[in-house]
Amino acid sequence: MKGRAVILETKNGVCTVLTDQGDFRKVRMRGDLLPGQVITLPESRWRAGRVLLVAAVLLVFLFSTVLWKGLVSPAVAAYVSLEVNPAVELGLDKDGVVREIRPLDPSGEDLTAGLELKGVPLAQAVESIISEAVKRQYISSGEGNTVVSTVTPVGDFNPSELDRQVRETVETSLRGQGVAARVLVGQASAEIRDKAGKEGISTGRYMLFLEASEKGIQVDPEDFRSKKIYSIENDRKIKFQDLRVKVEKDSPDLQDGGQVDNRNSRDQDRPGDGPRGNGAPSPDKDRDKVAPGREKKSGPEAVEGPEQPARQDQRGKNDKKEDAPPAERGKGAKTGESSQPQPGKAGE
Amino acid sequence: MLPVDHLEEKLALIRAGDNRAREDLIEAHRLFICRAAAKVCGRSLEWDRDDEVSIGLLAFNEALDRYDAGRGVPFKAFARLIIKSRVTDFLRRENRHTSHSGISLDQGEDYKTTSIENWQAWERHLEEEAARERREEIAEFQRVISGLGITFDDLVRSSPKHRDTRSNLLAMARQLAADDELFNQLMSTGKLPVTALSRLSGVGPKTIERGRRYIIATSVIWRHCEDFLHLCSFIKPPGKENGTP
Repeated sequence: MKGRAVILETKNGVCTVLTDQGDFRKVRMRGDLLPGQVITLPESRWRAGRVLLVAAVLLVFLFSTVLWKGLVSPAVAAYVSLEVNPAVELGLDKDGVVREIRPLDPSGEDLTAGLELKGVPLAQAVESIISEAVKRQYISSGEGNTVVSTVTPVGDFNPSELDRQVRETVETSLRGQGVAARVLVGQASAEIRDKAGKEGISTGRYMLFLEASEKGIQVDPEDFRSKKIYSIENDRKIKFQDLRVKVEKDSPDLQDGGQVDNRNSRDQDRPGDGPRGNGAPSPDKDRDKVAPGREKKSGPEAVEGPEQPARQDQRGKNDKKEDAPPAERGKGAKTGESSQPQPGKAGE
Repeated sequence: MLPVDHLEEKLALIRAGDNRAREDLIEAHRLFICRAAAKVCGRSLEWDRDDEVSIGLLAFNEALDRYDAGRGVPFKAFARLIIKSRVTDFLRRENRHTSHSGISLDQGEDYKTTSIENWQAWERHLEEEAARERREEIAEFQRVISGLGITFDDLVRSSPKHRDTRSNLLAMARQLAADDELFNQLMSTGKLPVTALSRLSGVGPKTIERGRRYIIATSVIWRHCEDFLHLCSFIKPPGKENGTP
């Protein structure tokens, strides 16, 4: 609001005025001014100064927020592990920006050492990692490449959405690099992630290990520490699909599975849909081999024979519920969507 | 005498044709009219005896019709200027009649017609006169406050920057000016009766102490509002300004 003021005194271009708000103050005025003159206060420097000041404060505030974000990693809202043989884990904030980088093995450390990943969006980080992996020939064309990724929401994150996003990003990056690879993505509960950490392998590998065990395939845990996933599959004559820890081991269809592209199929990818690969053991073999991997697990997933038929019946009635008995659902619920089988349950 | 609180409202009523309000206002300003006219004549006047007072009364009435707040001059200052102008005209005519001087540029002309015809010149005259009056007021104000050891720079320093604080202190200065005992105590000792004021207004002693010079100076303006008509219009409490649109 511009106001009027009467000039009381002038000294060297500075006028002492009394404003119509009853304020005595000094203003710098140009021109020939005499006491007694009424002036309209200029759209005041003071006001303009204040606007500037406010702007400056805001700027500083914004800038410091950015700085703050840069210096102090904000709460990580989700972890994404990425296994291209070297394995890394990225901690994302709630905006999907990478805040933490954790190599999960020495080659992972080597791989990410030269990359600028902190503070960039997930897609960009994944892109960098994939392209670096291709450059270093961890992924090369023609071979049975497998990229395994898991998402573990720990904060306010929609796991399914993140899951989808990771898959798309990885696939896009691979296409961009002109290499073909199978992409396995799955959600891992925080418990699974912890256990994988204790085992010293990537969450993805751990989940594959669980999956294999779940299927009753005899696997050597050491394989999962050292071998390529591709080799494990070859050795064990199995084919991993998307990551999940299932109770579907009785389903021949799933056992046979092994599609390179499982995109968007997980929810529909129930017994009986789609063409299946081969190489997976038959259900009968499966049952015979139940042994070693099983020890890793306990709880309702590691069920004995008698319960199996009942389970299958249940699934037959209701596809959506096949993943777990109701009591377990509750436990695993934090990791997400109900239609998604929860790997976490298997480990519990 | 303190300025009429609701002058603005009354002026609006009068402009809307309320003759009763007009009568009331004129009645309330008899002393003001008398003093304004007497100042021109240089001698004291009596209400029912002197022609100059009648001229002043007419002029005041004219001011009521012609006052325009947008001009930025408080009503009473405006009225006083009109009174001064009319009484001067009257005296000049009287003088001419008595001295029989032959020069008669505007002889016989109705002064109102002249004024309207020379509206622009009159406006300029009004502005100049108002500026001169303000200058005189400022000089007088400066003289009074320097007697209390206050300079304009002090006022700039002690003037509260926050609008609410300022209006609190202004209200207090007004109370102080209205209170004969406290005000006289202030003028004789040069000290602000902080405790008494704090009790009177409910404002904390610290705030009063910080705004001490500001309170003193503005209470002086309030106290002598008739002499500081222009300055007074600048320290009117919010919402009661009659000097600005």
